[in-house]
Amino acid sequence: MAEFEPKIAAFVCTWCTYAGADLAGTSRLQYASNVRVIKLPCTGRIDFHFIIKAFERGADAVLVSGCHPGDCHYTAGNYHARRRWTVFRKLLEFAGIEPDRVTFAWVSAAEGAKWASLVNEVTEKARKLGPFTRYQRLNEIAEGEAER
Amino acid sequence: MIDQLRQRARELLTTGEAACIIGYADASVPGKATPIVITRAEDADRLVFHAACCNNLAAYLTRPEIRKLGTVAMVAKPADVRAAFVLMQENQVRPDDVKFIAVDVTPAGECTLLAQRTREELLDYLVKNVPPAELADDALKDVAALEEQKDGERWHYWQQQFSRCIRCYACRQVCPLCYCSRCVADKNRPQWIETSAHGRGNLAWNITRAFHLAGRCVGCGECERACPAGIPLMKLNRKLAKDVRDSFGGHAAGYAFSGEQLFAGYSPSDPNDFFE
Repeated sequence: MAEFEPKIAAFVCTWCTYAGADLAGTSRLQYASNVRVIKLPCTGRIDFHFIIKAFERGADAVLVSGCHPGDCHYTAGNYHARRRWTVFRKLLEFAGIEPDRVTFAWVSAAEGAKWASLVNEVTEKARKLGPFTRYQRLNEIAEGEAER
Repeated sequence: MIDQLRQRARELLTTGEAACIIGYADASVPGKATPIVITRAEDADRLVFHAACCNNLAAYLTRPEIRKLGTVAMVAKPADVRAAFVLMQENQVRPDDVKFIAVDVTPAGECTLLAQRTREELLDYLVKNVPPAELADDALKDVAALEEQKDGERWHYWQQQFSRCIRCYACRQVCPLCYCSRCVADKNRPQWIETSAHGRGNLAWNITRAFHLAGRCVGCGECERACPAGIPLMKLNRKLAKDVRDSFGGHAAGYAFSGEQLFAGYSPSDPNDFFE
């Protein structure tokens, strides 16, 4: 059987992490192709519904990344986001979602290498956890109901 | 006590200090109470207060039909006062538009009318006499017990609980702080929360409800009481209250009627250890 390839949804801000991922590309860095990058204006724009929806659409892990604290293009979007994630990640864990399914990071536009190694790391973590069968079981039931 | 409460209500209505009184009246079912809004002084005798008066009456402050009446007075238990304070802090009601007929129940179970009337006096009363119920050590025991379990067990536990959810949204309707005129659960373009009562939709809804109250929930427990399926919603609320307290300098909701709401602000020294 082929090795399990996790699907990872990455929500990134356009100013830092997206530019960092771009740098990784233009620098010809090789990294895991499991990640699907979704670009947003700011980490402050990343609603927690995005994370839930990613799991509903079959993601095995989610990565959230933006500008380092103090470097937000909009001054404080990442600070606001950080305050929310501090609590939200604990809530997900409390609901029974493994903490390693959701990773938070700061990756600047200059950190192409950090982006590459971060994606590899998140992919490895997801590979170890295996497919997110708990959630995918919910998805099967929900989609089965929709077909009926 | 009830005579004093009715007298105060009559006084507020006859002097015109308040256009209406939000309080409790005996329900048609013996031993139960129901919320009531009175606008005439002669109706003050219908007001009651006893152990069965459970609704959080702050939920009515944001209703359009109440708003247009102008200044309102509400019979308020400590949790109702806290909820009203959060509404003031979030600019949902004008502080001067709300008058309190504050009541409390002593540890011995005796209902009393408080002498405190202004929000400053009531804030002082809350700080000195009413520790947040949702953060009481006893109340947090079941949260800790669940935290100690493996994530698979927690998942199974909540899936069992949420599987009973029929999406009636009673938890939302009864909550004084779920006041959005259009709830995200009712929007369908895009539809973030599926309306079907299957495991996936129920998980999304219950996570959303809990998280939207993070740092705001005053622990009145009305959501859990209103839930026809008996889902232990307060366990989620208490978990969030505890995490918020531990992460943000002992924050507890409803102990201020002005200033910045927790998630409307930030601090450069907020926790950062979970970021790669």
